Amino acid sequence: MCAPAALAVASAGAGIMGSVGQHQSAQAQANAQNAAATSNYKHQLKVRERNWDREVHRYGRQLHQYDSTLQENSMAGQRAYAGAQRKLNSIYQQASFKQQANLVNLLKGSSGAAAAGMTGKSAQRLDNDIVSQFGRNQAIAAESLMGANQAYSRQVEGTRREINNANTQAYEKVALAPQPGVAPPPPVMTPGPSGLGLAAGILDAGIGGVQTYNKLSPTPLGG
Amino acid sequence: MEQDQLQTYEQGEGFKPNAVANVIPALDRINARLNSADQEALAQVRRNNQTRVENSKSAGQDLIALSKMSKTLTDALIERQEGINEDERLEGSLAGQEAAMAGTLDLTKYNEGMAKAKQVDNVVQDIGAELLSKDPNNYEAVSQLTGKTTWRSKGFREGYYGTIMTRYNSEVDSMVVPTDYPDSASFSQARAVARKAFFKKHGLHNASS
Repeated sequence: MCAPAALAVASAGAGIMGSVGQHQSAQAQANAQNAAATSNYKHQLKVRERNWDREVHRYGRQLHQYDSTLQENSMAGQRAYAGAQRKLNSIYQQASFKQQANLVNLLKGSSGAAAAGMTGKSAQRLDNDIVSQFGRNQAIAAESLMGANQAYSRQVEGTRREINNANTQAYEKVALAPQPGVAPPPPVMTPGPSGLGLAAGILDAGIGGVQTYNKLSPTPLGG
Repeated sequence: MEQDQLQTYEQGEGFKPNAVANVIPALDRINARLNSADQEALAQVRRNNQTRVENSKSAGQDLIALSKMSKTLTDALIERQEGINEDERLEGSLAGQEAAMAGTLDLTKYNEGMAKAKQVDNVVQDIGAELLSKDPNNYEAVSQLTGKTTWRSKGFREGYYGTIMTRYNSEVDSMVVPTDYPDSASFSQARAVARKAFFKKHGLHNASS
């Protein structure tokens, strides 16, 4: 009677050990898979965050460079405007000095002929030449000043366009701010083995033990 | 008077902005290197986690292997025990057949012997249980001692009763002849009486004990 009982217990024990081992294995695998998925997800988020920080920093540097470029463009424009103005002023100044000189020459020529006692047609012709030349010089000066004014206007307009172009080119680099992409979805956890499966396995092992006992125990005749 | 020519040596200054330091290419190179390092680190983390998952598969395998080994061992022991039981049963069956065929079986003593055997068997079981409780290593010895009695008795009864039953028809027919009875009811009654007599003669009334 002890041999069937002992073998039944051994048979059931082997089955129970197998069920528990399989349960432990499945549980450990599920735990490891879940831990791995969680760890991967956290690192993905960390890498994504670091990438985004670098993007934001890069865009910040671009904005800083954009501001500096605008300042430099503005200062360069001011220098160009001032240069054009100085050039125009110089021409006006030169014209003023020429005007003064022409007036002096006009007076000097007229008074010189009179002082030399020149009269008549010769004196009149000389005087007309001086006055005519003075008039032509006046016309030349007027035309030159008008041309200088037009050139100044063109230069100022050109400078303005250059500033705009340079500012537009600088703006191209910061026109579009970076945007974060879609975050990776969180992982789906793997369910572990059910306790019901373990209980069923243990019950099955117990039934196997009882069957072993019945197989090894003699059944009385007719009983 | 000379003709005037207005010209200036002032050339002015065109639009010449100062260069602004552009650190973006250098920053891109640094970011590319950092991104690459991040991706390598992430790949390594994934490999490590995969290794952990692979390692986890070995959890519980020791119990599973132990279970397989125990099952193999248990199956072998069961097979061996079944062989022993079968041998004992056949041995008992042979003895039972011989006793039945020889007709030398003293049923009174047999029944007494069976009752005594049961008592002995119970005593043996008690002794075996006590031996086992004191030392589990006595299992084999206890198994041999306690199992043999029961399986041999079972075989003996099978052999004896099986052999006796082959004589049933001839003996009962010789005791009850149909022509001696006027109707089937009286014949059936007589045959029932003869059947009881046959069972009592050969001790079959104790078959279930």
